[in-house]
Amino acid sequence: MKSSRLPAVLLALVLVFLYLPILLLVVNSFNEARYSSTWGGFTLKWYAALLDRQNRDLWDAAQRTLLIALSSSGSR
Amino acid sequence: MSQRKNEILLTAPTLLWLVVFFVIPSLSMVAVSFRPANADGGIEPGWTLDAWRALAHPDYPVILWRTVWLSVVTTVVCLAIALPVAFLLGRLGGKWRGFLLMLVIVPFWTNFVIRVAAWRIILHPEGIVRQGLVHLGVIGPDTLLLYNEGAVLLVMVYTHLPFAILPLYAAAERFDYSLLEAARDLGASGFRAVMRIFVPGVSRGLLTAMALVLIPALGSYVIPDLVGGPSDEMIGNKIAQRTLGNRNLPQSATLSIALLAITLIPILVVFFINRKEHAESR
Repeated sequence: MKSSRLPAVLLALVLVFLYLPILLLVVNSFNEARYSSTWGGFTLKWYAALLDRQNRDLWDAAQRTLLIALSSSGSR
Repeated sequence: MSQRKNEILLTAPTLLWLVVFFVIPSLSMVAVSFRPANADGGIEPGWTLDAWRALAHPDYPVILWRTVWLSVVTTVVCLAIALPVAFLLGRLGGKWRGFLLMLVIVPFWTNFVIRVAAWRIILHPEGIVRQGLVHLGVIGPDTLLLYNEGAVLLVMVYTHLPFAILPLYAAAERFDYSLLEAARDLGASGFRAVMRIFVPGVSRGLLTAMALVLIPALGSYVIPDLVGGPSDEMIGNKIAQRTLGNRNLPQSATLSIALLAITLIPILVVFFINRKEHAESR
């Protein structure tokens, strides 16, 4: 059966639509600028900040998230 | 008789769960809606209809109407996009199908609020998208992409689209595509064959998709809060404001009951259509 290309084109557009914001998020994690609407150059400083001992609360929050997620999904 | 006893025992935990976490909170919400509010955000003893009378405030019908039409348009757009996508996914061979389905599900793994916030960057007045559109002359230099109903609609479609694709795909997977070939052989155009054979064939999936998009859409408040302007509030925003901001619990109770009443409409529609189909298939 000869079939229309339309669904395939639409699926491609849907996937671009679904991934665009997530891709932008990843790109912005390397953004030197404090505010994400402009590009201030490449940096790894936000990742460094993540590993910084000073940001202990981030790790505490991550730990808590993991604990709650595990206990709410592991109960069955 | 012992079978009946077993049934009661088996359903008891579920029933208890529903009573404790659904029936009691719902009833206490109804009770709170008839209480007077006090200045600390609590409730006073005694009974009053104040919170119910306040629903007559001219703002509320406007907000309720906006909530309904934004949710309905979101649902229609999601279904219109999801239908051809599900049509394709259901027809594809195993390997591609699994991979593409995975790609539709993976965005779920990123936090909802973060994905909504990412749209603020994309649509930002200083952002590359708006600057580009202004440069190309598509939009005027004063037109904003953010803080309007269009932005709310776009992001609502974005966050709800997978909820429409997945049930429709599940229905399309069970659809017999050779029926379409038969329709073509009998002289139907491709479009006609899809509309007359495929769409009725996945009607159950369409109904589920409609419910899965429309019901959460009616209750959304993060999206209008983050990408909408002050004149794009939905009923969820008002409930949040009355609960967390200018605390008036009876008022948020009446608004929640109004939202619940609206949400019941699509649930009842799905329920009755399903029951009718059941009765017919017997």
